[in-house]
Amino acid sequence: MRIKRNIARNLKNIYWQLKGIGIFNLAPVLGLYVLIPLANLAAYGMGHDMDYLYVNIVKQCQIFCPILSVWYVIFVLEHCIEEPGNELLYIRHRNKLPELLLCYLTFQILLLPLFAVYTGMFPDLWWLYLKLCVIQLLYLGLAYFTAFLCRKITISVLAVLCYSISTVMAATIEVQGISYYKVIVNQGTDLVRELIPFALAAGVMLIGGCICNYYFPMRK
Amino acid sequence: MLRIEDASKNFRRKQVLKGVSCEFQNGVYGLLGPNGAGKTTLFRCILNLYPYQGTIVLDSEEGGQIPLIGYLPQKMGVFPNLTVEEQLRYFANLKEIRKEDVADEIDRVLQLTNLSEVRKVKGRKLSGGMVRRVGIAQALLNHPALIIFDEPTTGLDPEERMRFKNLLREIGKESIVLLSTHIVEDVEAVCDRILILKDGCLAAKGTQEEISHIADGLVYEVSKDDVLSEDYIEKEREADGEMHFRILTRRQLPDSLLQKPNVEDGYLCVLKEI
Amino acid sequence: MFRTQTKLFFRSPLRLILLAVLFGGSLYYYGPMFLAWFQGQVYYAGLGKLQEQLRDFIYVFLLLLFLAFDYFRDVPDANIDETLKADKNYLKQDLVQALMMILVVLVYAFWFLVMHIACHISDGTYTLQVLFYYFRLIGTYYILDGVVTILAGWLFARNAGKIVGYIVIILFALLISPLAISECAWLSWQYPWIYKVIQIFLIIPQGTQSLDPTYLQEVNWSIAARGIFWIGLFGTLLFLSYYRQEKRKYQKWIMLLGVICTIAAAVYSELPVSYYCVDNFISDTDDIFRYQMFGIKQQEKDADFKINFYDMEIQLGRQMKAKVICSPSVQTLDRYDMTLYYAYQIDRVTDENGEALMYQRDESTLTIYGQPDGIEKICIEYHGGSPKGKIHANRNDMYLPGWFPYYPIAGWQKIYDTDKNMYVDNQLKEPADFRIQIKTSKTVYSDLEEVAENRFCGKSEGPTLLMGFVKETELENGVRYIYPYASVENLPDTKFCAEEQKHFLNTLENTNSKIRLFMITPNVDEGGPGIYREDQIIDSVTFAYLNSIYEESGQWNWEMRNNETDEEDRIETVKMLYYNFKENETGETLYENVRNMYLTQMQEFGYTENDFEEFIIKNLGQEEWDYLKEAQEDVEN
Repeated sequence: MRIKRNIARNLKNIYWQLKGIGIFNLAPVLGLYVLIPLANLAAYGMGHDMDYLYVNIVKQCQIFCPILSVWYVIFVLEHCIEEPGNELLYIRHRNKLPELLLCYLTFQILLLPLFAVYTGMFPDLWWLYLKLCVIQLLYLGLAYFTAFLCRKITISVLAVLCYSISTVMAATIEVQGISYYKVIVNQGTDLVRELIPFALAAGVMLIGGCICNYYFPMRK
Repeated sequence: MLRIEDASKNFRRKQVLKGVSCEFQNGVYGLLGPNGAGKTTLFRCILNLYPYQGTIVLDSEEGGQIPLIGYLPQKMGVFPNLTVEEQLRYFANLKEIRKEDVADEIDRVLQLTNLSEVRKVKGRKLSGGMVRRVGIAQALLNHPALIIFDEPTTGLDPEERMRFKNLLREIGKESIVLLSTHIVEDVEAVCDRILILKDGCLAAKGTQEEISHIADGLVYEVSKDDVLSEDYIEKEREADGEMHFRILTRRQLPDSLLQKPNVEDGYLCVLKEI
Repeated sequence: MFRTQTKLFFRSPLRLILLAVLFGGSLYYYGPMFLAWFQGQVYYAGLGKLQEQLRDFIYVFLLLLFLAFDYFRDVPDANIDETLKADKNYLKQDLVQALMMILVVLVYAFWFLVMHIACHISDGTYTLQVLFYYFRLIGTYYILDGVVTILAGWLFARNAGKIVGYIVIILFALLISPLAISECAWLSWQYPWIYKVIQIFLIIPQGTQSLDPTYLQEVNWSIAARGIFWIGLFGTLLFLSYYRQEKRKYQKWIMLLGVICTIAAAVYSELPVSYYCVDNFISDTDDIFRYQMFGIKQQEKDADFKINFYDMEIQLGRQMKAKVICSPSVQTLDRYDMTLYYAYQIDRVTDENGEALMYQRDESTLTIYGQPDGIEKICIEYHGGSPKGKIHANRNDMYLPGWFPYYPIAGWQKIYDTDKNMYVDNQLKEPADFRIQIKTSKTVYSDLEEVAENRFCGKSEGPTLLMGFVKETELENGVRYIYPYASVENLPDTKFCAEEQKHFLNTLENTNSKIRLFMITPNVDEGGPGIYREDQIIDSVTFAYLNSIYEESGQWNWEMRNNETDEEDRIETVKMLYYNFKENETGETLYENVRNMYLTQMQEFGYTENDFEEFIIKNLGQEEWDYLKEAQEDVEN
């Protein structure tokens, strides 16, 4: 009951906070349901080759979905950290992670119809969805931690952009490590093994973010 | 002299200022009006921050040189990482105060605003009232010919408000001071002349007496039973276990106590069209 | 005011962090350089760090962009903007802020310049040409792009609310970043016109996967014009935002000037240009794409004449402009069929009297129709060149190999061999006389004899012209050595090639070789033959490689070696190359490279991919096959 109440409260918070950015709320929707499908169609148009389409889907999702997943997160963080009078937001509920996790879950739900279509064509793309869940959690952790550590979302935005660019560039020069970007989708235990470092990193950043979040109102 | 002739300003389809005309000489002028009357808009037009229709001219007495303007907006902050003195140096530079005069000028305004003791304190450590006083101080730099204060006493404690009022009286002798506020007592304390803006129009202007006289014969103190719905209740007070109401009304009440009107009464009469 | 701005700038913890990352991050490149100095080692071999810095330039761009945005947001965030705008000097304070940012950009650019010049000095590859090149490089990328970031940050910070400002900054950063560029690059495979549209966004260094020591990273006015476009655009918008409320006489003229400059820069950046850039975009002149994938037909026809004498005048600007006067051996033909690379556009064809001749152009073929009274000389004026290939010519650098039809040759010849995946060797069957004048202030190198400044004369089957970071020296036994000097690997008499150089010269002496010229040319990515004449070696090879080829086959030309070997020899080659790969590579890369090499070498003997395992086991052993499989499986796991 209490959990339900908290979820409802957090959802309302997110709603009011995101209302302030107006039409830009549609950016993730446009990205997921216009930009990525258009790119997929263009790829299919190039040779009507399903293999090529598959690779294209995998690439586009790995490039765009993580960046779009932090769209709402960034603006909720902006509201919590930079808006005048934000100390009000910390009086009763100091930890902002539940709200951000709800933004993350919202995005995951938004992603479902797109992946329903994809898996209709290529059943193993569900593994990509799972991969993106972990990667997007990492992005959430990165944004959360850097925002509360530096008390500005400028660093968060920069960190997210630099990391997404790095993963794509690292993949092209065959440097492993920080890059999750691959043109093939591992499955089963292979995927789990691949994602463990990213999940650990996400966990560390979320914990770090929680600590910085806790001390944030005191440091103001 | 500041001359405003038929100044008007539209924001999209809404007319915020409608043909405001007025002249200002040295002295302190109070600008009264409800929220949305157009006070801040008028100031911004005077400062050329908005394009407008009509004419607004600030004449120079020194033949040719553009007179200095000091401005304290409604919302003004400070750089969190600069000290009070550094903030003022920053503004002094903007106002092209000569290098050799800067230190003295900063000392002067710090003293006027009672900030001398916090001159080395960084902006993020200042209280809201101190931030406001820094804003007042920067507006006073370099003896401007026209000073505009938009809600200057917000956040000031009573002692500072008193000090500020005294300050206004002094600077009003040599400059045109325009003061916008909701606090009528402040206006009564310092302003030579008062202008009342309502719905973008200049509804009334005059000295304090003239504004007060608008409410002549309209201000009564009555008991609860004598109040009608058409009356405007200004204040209520309790005396000897009874409630007494100060009202504004067109009715003639020979049995009730006619009150001597003040500026607030006149202001409210204009506003409520009593 | 500047002092206050300095305090404002440096007292922000966020900006200090960004500056620390910006300058501290560059230690990743300069750190190894410092270490090399202290250890007395020459570090700069391979120009690796320059290439890495240019590849990673996007991070510098983003850091500067966000730094500028944050700095210019100080005033609105402190709620001081209204107070400032009331003062007539508010633009001055903003300009001082911009100046502060420009200083950061200049310090960073200057540090880059100093470090790289110091490296060039320490490894003996420094010249004035290198110094001017680095000035152009930092001017085009670090300074121009730095100003773009400053103006973008200023514009978005002051003229949009905070949220909109962040959104616009993110969108702008994404558009400029390799993410957007890589998206457009793969789209260009289907829609080659995309390159023309996206060009204006390509303000960060492109084609940084490889850095040829002959040219380094290309820097020219066309690239600079892109930065100028964005500066003009943002500058004009800023001007508009500051002066829209004030009605001043000159306002309209300044606006107009700004708009004109912006449009002019955009137009200039789109003008045809010829320079070296290996990026992922496919354009209309991408020869592998054209001939392999599109299957552009290449006509062949034997010539019934030869050209005895060429008088060529070449002008170098954005592209090459050439005027070639050919003297055909037969003057009374109805038509003269020639080949001239399709990327050159014919301007005029005239005879010896200046009268226009009819001609027809189709792809790389050129047919000039004869006159009733015969033609003594044919004068062909043309301009152009490959927009982004190794074979290009512009005012900064040039590579026109003698085997390439950059001048008209008799007959219709194939340009590209789709079986061998390389350009065809289109040297003349018989030598002709050449007189070439190149109008440029830089030094050009050729296999022909230089009779005056940038004027070359002589007999040749095809003259090679090279310009860039190139030097010429005379080796011990009088051999002319023309080499790209920007990389230490090719410097003569240095520890990098002294031994191999000596070995090469000894071989020449011992075999009474007539080789009198060794010219190292850039490696053509599409594949190109070398020139191996009795007295010349002109190819993208090193002393070491030449020595190994000679040891194997008794001659210098690697192509001949490949052509003349039998199956046994080829197996030996595969084995040698396998061990080479094993030393330098691991994992999937090793497996892929070995497999591809096997197919390249053995396919003509009937070997296929299915025979790969059996071949490796038979010729290298089960152990090596297990090793390869493990390498492949490691990656898959």
